[in-house]
Amino acid sequence: MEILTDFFDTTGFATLTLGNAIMILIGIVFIFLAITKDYEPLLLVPIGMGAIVGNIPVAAGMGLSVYDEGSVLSYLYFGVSAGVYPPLIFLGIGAMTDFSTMLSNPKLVLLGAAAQIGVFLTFFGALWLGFQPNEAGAIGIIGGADGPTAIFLASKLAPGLLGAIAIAAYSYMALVPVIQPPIMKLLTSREERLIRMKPPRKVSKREKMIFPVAAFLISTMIAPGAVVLLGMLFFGNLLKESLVTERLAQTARTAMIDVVTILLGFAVGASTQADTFLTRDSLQIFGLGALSFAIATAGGVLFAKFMNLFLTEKINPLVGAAGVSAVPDSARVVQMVGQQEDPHNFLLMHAMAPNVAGVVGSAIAAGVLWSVLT
Amino acid sequence: MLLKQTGLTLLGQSDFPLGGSESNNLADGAVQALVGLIIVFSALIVISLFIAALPRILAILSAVWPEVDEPAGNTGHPDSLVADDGAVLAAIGYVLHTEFQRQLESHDS
Repeated sequence: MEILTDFFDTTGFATLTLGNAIMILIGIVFIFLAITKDYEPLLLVPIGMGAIVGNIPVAAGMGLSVYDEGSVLSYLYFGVSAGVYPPLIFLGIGAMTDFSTMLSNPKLVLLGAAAQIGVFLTFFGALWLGFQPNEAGAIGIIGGADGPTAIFLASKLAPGLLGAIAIAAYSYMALVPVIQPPIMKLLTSREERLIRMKPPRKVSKREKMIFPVAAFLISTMIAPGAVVLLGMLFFGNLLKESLVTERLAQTARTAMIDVVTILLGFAVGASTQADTFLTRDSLQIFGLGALSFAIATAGGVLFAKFMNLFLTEKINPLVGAAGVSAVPDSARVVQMVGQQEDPHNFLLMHAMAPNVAGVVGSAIAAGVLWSVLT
Repeated sequence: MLLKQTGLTLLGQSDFPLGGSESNNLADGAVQALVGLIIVFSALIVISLFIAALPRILAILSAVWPEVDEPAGNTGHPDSLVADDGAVLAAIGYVLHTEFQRQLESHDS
């Protein structure tokens, strides 16, 4: 009988805390949203399952959790804490990204820069709330709407906040179709939403081949901190555009990115143990993340309106919202909102330009913050 | 301080002094945020200018090094052609579908 009592004391029923139960519930909600609402299922399912796994209380000394040295989960989490997974994901993103629309309309690149205002204003807001500068920088990058970049920078600047930042970044990326449309509609008139843009010009193969190398050199000469993320992004794109390494590009954009996404999502989820995750800081991070995302969206839209003051061929300001780098979801949202006003207006291709510029912009912003705050 | 950390000034140094800000007050944070945003804008403006100039540069280059329709490596990789063909077919299908729908709508009205 005593053996049974001792055994019961080691089970999850005896050691489960309210915090663990809340986190398990959050994990279930993530999986539910992914399955029923199709919100970023490739991320929310691994993160949700990881959160459930990470919050099953284990007896002390068993060494099973992410934070127990030598545990299996700690090895999986090493890819997150050491910033290994994000560059590998960037390699895959580069191999699947077509920069043609950006190359055909270079002024739209500026919208990708304008959206980064969310990163820097949130950095300032986090400082104002009392976070240390390194923590504020890691929180600010949530506004870049780029999960791998947020994880990479948090692992370098504020490892203690990594779980909360990663969950906030991916949650808001999943909620792009919910967060962005009201801001886009609020900041634009119907006439502006009806603007039709000229179809993009044809881009030569040579332009596409030269671009990754040249853009890498330009951006990392200015922000060397972005060398890892941008190096992998543009390397992946070169594999795609060189046309002689199709097999490698194919692997990078399919099998490899899938494997890394599974490991990253699951490890991040498993790191959200209630005792480290359910804190006042996490709540503030979620609040700041939402603010950051909203400011980034507004920054892109307002900058497009500003550019229209000087342009003869007007930009549809909705396209500015795609400057946050949630690829391709924010571009899809632009298309959806644009078609609500005019079903024959196709903005998707135009929105992809600031969208991919946003990926580059958020990586540069991360590089700048890393350089300055370490 | 931020300018000193760009690659252009670091090229000639053996060690990268990435050690950063010593101040952590709000005023410094505001300056860091502003300068950070300016750096991001500068990088993307230079990229944008480069992209805008690229067709002209290539036009000059093509006099010396004309562009061929099919790069050598592509001939040995039918997989890449299949992927491109699929995208083109999908685009054509989408345009035809949209056009038919528009015609149907105009007939209805």
